[in-house]
Amino acid sequence: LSQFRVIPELLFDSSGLVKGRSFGGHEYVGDPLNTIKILCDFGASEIIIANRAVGGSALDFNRIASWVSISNVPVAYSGTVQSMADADELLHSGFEKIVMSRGFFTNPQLLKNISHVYGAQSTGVNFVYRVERDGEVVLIDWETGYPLRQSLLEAVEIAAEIGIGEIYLTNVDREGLMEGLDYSAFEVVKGVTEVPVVIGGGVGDMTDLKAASKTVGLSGVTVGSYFTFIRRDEGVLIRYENI
Amino acid sequence: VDYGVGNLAGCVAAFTRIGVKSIVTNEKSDILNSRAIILPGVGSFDAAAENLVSFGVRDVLLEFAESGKPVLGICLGMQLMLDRSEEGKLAGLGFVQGETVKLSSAESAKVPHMGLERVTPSEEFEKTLPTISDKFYFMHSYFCKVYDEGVSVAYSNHGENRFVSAFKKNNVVGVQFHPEKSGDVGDRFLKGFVGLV
Repeated sequence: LSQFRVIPELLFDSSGLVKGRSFGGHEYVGDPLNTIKILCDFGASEIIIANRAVGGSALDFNRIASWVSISNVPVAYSGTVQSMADADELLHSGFEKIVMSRGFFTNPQLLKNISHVYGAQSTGVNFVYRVERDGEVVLIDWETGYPLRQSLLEAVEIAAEIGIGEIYLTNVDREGLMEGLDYSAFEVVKGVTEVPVVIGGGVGDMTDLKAASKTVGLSGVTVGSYFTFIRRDEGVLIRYENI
Repeated sequence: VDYGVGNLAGCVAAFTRIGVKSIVTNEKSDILNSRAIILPGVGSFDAAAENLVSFGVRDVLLEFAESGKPVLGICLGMQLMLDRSEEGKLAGLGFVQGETVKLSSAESAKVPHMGLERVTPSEEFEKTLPTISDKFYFMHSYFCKVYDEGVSVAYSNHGENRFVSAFKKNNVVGVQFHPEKSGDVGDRFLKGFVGLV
C-alpha cells in the first residue's frame, strides 16, 4: 500500500497566514515562511498553501515564491490562476502543483493546458461541498456560498476529461471546526475516479487521522486548524504529526 | 539544465541547502564545463522532448553524456533518458534503452502515484550510493520500462506493481522520485550523488 498522506494546508491572504471556520471569520495566525520551515522541520512530506483572497486579485509572485524556496518538500498552490503565464510563473518558482476550485468551473481549458504541458500530477481540483439535510452532496462556490449547477459526479467526469491529477473534497461546514471529517463526498466519488482523492475539513485529533488512513481508496487528508491551534478556541501552535 | 519545463527552483534550492554550487543554464559552454548535470523533472514527455530540441540542448546533452561525467535525471528527466514514451510521440535521449509506460490504477494505487514510497536498491548499488535506501517523494503517472534489466539499480512499489525507481548505466543515473523534495532524506541522497562526482 502507498503511504497515506497527511497534508498541512495553510491559508493566506494579504496579511499573512489566516485561519477561520467554514471559509469565513479569518484571523491572522502567523508568517508563511516560518510556518513552512517549521512544518518541514517536523517532517511534513508535502504542504498546500491556499489563497483565500476573495475575488482572485493579482498574485504577488515574488512574495509567494520566497515562501516556497524554504521548503524541502512539495508545495501545492491552491487558488484561482488566471492565465497560462501565471501557471508558468508558479510552477517555475518552486510549486509542484496548482489546485483550482472556482477556476475549475470558470476556466477548465486553463487546467487542461496546464495538465498537457506539465503533466496531470501538476494539477488538482478542490471540490467544496455541503451536505443537505437529506444527505445529498451539493457543490458550492466557496466565495459566494451558492450551490453550483453541476453535481459532484458530473464535475468528476469533467475532471477526468481535462486530465486533472488529483481530487480534493472539502466540506465547507466542517472546515475549521475540528469536529471530525465527513466522508459523504468521498463515498460518491470512490470507485468512479482513477486519480488520488484527498478529503479535508474537520480533522480534530489523531483518531480522525487514523480512521482516515484506514479508509480504502482514500489517498490522504488535508489538515488546517489541528496543526495550527493548541486546541479549538486556543492559541496558535504550529505542528505536524504523521500517523 | 533548463529546458523550459521542470522545477528548476526546487533543484537549485536543494543544492544550496547541501552547500553545492549550481547554475541553471541551457548554454552549451556552461553545460559542457560543468562537473555534473541534472535533468530536472515535472512535465509531460513530448513538451519536454520538443524543448530539448528547440532550446538547442539535445545534442549538447548527448555530448556531455559521452564525456563520462555524471548525469542525474529526476522524474521526467529520468524518463527522457529512454528511447521513447507511451505518453508521446517524440524521441527521448536514448541514454538507456527502454520506454515509459503508464501506471495502472487500482483502488489501493491511484494514478498519478503521489507521496512517499520506499526505494529498495540492489545490494551492489547500495554500496555505491547507500543514501538511496529510504523513503522518497514520488509524483508520476508513467514509469520506466528498461530493456536491459542490468541497469536497474533500485525498485519501488505502486500498489502491487513493482517498478524501476532508479537506473544506472555508466555515468548516467536516473531516479523516478524527487530527491529535491524529499526532505532530509532527499538532501542526503543528493550529497551522496555529489560524492560520486
